[in-house]
Amino acid sequence: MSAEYPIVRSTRRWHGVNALALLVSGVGILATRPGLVLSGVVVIVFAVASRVDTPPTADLDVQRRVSADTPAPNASVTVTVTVTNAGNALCPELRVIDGVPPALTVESGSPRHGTALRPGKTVAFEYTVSARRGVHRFDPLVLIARNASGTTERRRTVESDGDETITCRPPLSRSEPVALPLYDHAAGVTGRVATSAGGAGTAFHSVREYRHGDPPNRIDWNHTARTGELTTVEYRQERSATVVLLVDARSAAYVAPDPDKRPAIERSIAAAGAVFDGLLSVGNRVGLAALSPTECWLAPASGTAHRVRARELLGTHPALAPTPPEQSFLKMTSLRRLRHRLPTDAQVVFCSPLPDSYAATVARQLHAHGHPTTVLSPDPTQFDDQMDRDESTTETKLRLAGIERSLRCSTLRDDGVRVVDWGTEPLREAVATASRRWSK
Amino acid sequence: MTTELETRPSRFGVGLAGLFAMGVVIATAIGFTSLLLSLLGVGVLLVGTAAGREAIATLGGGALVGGVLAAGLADASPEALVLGTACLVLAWDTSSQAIDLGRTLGKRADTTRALAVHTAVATLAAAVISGVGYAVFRVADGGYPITVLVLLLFGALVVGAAYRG
Repeated sequence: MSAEYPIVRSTRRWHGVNALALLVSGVGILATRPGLVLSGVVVIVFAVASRVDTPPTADLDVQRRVSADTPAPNASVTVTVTVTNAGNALCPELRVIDGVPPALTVESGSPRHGTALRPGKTVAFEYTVSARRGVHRFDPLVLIARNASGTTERRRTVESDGDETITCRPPLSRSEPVALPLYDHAAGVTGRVATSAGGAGTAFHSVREYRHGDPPNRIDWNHTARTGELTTVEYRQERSATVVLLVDARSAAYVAPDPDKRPAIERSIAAAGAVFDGLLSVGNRVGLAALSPTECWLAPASGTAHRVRARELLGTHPALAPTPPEQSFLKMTSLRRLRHRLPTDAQVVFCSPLPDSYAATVARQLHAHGHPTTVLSPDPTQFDDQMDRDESTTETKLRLAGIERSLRCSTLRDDGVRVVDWGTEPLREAVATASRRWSK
Repeated sequence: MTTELETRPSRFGVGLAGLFAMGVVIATAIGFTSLLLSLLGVGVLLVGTAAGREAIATLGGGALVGGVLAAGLADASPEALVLGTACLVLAWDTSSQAIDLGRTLGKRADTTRALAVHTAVATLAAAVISGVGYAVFRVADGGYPITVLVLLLFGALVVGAAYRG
């Protein structure tokens, strides 16, 4: 336990009491009422006694324990804080405030506690928080010890012994993998993306004249028997694609319809996980990157180990922290660095709530530089009925933001970028709706 | 996504402050004016404490002081006045302590022990101080009680001033 800047200050209680006591005594003297003078004396002695009271000494050990340090998403985690008076003086009043990680919500109980502690005694209190994705670090505890009269307090910020973090790594797909259709001019090794080029494969594509060297099993013998000419059947070529899922993790992407709601980045990350799973399971090479002040890059690959790495990255990478980044984000540098890293044939799936025009610029530029881009955009402007109807200004603001965002979506569509606009429906449905539009 | 802290004091604190304030009412129930002022004080003090508003609670405390003053002017016995004053000090102290605890720790936190110990210490101090004060008053009751009390008052003020630095 390390103590930082213990602050001793007067709580300014009993200030002005002397004047009141003198008033009572004065009236007593003037009206010759000994009882009133006595009252004034009692009050003044009380004020003096509280001033004589010594500042509190507090030698305290604090320990924090969590019931699970790697809980499942939405699981309740019980946090137990134990405070021991290690000194040899009574602590007449002690206030303990635990530093709950900012992105976690207290479900029941309170992270604050007030008590008195005799030497050697221990007090424990507990509260539960609901687990959410990410690494959640507890802030230091604040201990405020006061003397018995409450006139002086000693405030300290301490790091607790014991558990400092709660880490929650959700599975890649929270419900089921989402099969996001890709652009069909993929290239590379054999995989499951059906292309428009004919060749070896399983689905019928076309028939053409026999050329020397065609494998005999591709010759259409029925046709040869009927006409006497050799013809070769072409199948749709299936290739695997290289896809990089790019998550918008700038502070702008932490928008939420109201402060109690999940920020949009959480939906972006959930979507990235489900799409990653869906693309990887059909044999594509999938990578991950974040648009964030902190570097975050997982090169495209396939396989089980890669899947585990992706889950770890989406769950715990500092670039995807549950609270917005504090460093400033260099727009052009980050984009340039990302473009250098992207393999030449890589498609991009950009998961972003499209909170500003920069997000749209990123999608447009990547698309223009030969990385076919699909924008998967959770809509943070959906107004639902549970929200506070009284605050009509919130509703108006959300409506305006919603209009701006849908304009961005349609401009991107005009530029040939595919956009999945994900409202409150399941992601699978949003993808199905969007892909119907693309196949027209 | 932090939950907003409800900063009102606990019911226990409001109850304790109310209890002491009722002590003032009983001690000052000698005349109509003093009773009225004290009852008004109890009401305002309780409303202020329950709402966590220190200014309103202090106003209630002021009305209680008015009640004690009125009782004193209406020739209440010194015993009743000392009891009333002790209860007044305790009611105001408990109320401001409960408000302060509510402000730092919130309504949902368990603050019973902190408040109980503080109030117990204050009650003990009040008992000792009133007891000693009353004893001095009785011993000096040889015809010049006011002179003795005024000297005592000055003595206490000087000690207080010495500790102020």
